[in-house]
Amino acid sequence: MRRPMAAQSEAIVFELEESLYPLDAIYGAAYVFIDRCYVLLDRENPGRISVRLRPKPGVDAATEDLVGEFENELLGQAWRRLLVEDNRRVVETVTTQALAGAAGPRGLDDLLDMDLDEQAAFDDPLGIAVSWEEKYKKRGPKEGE
Amino acid sequence: VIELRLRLELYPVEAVREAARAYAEHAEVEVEERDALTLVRVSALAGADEQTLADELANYVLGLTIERRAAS
Repeated sequence: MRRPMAAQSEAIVFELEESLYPLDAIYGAAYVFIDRCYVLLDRENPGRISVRLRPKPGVDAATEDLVGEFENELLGQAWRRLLVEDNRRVVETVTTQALAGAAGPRGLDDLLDMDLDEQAAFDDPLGIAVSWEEKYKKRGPKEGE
Repeated sequence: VIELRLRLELYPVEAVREAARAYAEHAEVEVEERDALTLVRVSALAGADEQTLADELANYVLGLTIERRAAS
């Protein structure tokens, strides 16, 4: 996931694979840390973001611990983004169906425009054309009763 | 003078210029675009720690960058 860390005075630099962690997730994690650390991002190698963290004065944490926290935050950010993306698809599908339903039943013009062939015209999957008598007539005793 | 080298693809130059304006009363900030980088030269005005000021400015640019991305 990251190269061995290189310490620069109190700062620490590590690299992240963009194929594993999208840039937005890296920005998100960086944003969480800017109140405790000085954060500097760079991309010296394509596909790899380097992060330089330097704790602000008064922050009582080892730099290595901060790196660990940063990576945990990064995982959380990446996961949240996946969830948001999945939920977006669900919301879009539900909204589309709701809007289609809100458009109401087809009008007369739509029905007239429908292309009905002979077979489709007499197709009765719901059994609407079956008479009441035919549908509910008393059946005789079964054979053998 | 401390020079920050901010990659344009990570830090939009508008955010860098806005940060430079915000820090004008604490430091002399010179912004120059060169190839894929924005070079930011920070000279602290009297009494301020130059390294801390440069780091704070970089954080400010990062914050602006993220807020702009979130808003767009």
